[in-house]
Amino acid sequence: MLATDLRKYNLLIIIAFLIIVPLCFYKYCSVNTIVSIFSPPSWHHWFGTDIIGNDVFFKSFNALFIALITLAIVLPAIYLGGLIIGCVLSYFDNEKVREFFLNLVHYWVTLPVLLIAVFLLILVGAGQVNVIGILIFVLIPSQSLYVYNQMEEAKKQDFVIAKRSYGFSKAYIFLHHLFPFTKNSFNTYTLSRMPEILMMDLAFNFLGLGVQPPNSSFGRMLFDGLSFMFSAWWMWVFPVILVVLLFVLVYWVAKSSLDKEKQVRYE
Amino acid sequence: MNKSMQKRLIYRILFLVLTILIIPLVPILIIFVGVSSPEYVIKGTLNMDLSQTEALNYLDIYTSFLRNIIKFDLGTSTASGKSVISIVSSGIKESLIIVIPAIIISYMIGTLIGIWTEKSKRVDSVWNKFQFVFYVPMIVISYLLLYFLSFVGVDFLSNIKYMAAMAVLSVYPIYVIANALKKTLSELRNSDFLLFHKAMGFTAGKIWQTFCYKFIIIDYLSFFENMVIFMIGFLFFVEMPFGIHGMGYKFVIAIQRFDYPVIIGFCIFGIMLLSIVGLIVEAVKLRLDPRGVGE
Repeated sequence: MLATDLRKYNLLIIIAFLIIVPLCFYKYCSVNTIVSIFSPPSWHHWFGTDIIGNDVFFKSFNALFIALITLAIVLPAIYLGGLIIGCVLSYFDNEKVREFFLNLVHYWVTLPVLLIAVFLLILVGAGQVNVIGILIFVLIPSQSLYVYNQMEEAKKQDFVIAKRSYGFSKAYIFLHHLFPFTKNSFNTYTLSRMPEILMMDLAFNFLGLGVQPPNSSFGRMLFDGLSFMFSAWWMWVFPVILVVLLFVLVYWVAKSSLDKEKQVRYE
Repeated sequence: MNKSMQKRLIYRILFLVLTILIIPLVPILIIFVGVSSPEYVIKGTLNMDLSQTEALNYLDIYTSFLRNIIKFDLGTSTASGKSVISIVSSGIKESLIIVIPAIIISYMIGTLIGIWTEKSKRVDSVWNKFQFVFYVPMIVISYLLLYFLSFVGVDFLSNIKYMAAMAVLSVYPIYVIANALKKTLSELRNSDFLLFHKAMGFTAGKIWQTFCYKFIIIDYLSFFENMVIFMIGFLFFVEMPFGIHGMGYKFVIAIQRFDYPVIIGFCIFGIMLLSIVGLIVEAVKLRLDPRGVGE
């Protein structure tokens, strides 16, 4: 167990090292260079420069940082929001109200979330803060539906029925038994939504509705790179490599969480 | 169809009607929020002269837009002057050329992989190791494929672009279908249902033919809705790189030009279309599902 944890921390340290060291070294290398427009990768500009002379290396890492920040805000927000709504739906037994809300959530889940999000973004205006807000807003219903379903499944467990028969309050059972019982699957489900969040973020930025200059995003870098696909390959190849690495990392995190949950379930 | 099924369908229709009633609030919200030149947005969505729009109150705007939506008149593009519905319909044809074959390919390959991984442990372990490939976003696959095909000298003015776009669009659905089918098959194989019918004297083949295919079809229908949503939602990720002038491409161009009536038109059309597809799928699924009988 300890060895696994250490291995995980080692990996995180290596990843942090791989990001921070090249950035520091690069900062040192790129000092006092002549601003060059549209230049291919060189010693002074490792990933080359774009059409207005911006350094693609800095832009790529700026985009990576913004993608990670977005993930770090959206994930806990949808986790908490979904948990609260799902628990409230499962806690109150008013059949009519519950039926209405569940059907509403079911309907919402089957709507094209991306189109709705674009629709809302057009109204509130472009910007990464708005993107984050809208992502949270459109993703919470499906999260709460999952929480609700898990809670309802957990309620059928023998130990919950036994606790009820002992006379424990509903709130006590929810807090001390149902939540700990279903916690691992919420965590896994929330983590498994990381690719979805990143994909939507990529889409908004590709459409130009997310991060605005001077900051950069992978979506926008890929969109800009499309016009120079063959004349300036460095404008899209490096962002593509970082996007692939980010998605593989996200896959690895989600998969290890799923494996852990399976291990706990079968132990 | 039993009572709970009817209720679920009634709710879906109710929420669809509510969506239609909420959408006309958009031009009013645009005035409130103050998007750049709201009068042009209103003019575009309501098909009116600018002088006429000034005399309108909120209720007039709402009722006019609602009437237009019901008549399927989504206004006029502020950039090109063409009607929004003609822009949307011109994009549909191109998009369907990619989406329909992509759905068929996804089901075919996903089913093959699902069955294969369930049958062979070696294939299953290879599949588990390389699943991360399917997590790579389709825009990345589009770029790489585009570059590779151009590198080997493929002419992108030919129909090959449709095939490439179709292949890219079906990558993630293949992964979803294969995994879900594998899970369903494994659950069915170990179910009490199968053991019970075997004890009753049915052969395994007969049980699969008579009962189990229904569960698989229900599973397929469940993915269908999400798959169509996924494909239509992210169409621009394949249409932009391959230069296919479908709905996704036109949507991106409309956003670049701040052509609000066209953007709103695409969103309304997409939401309506996918809601109706969802409604039909739900009705078929509930009709087929034997678990709902006698509830």
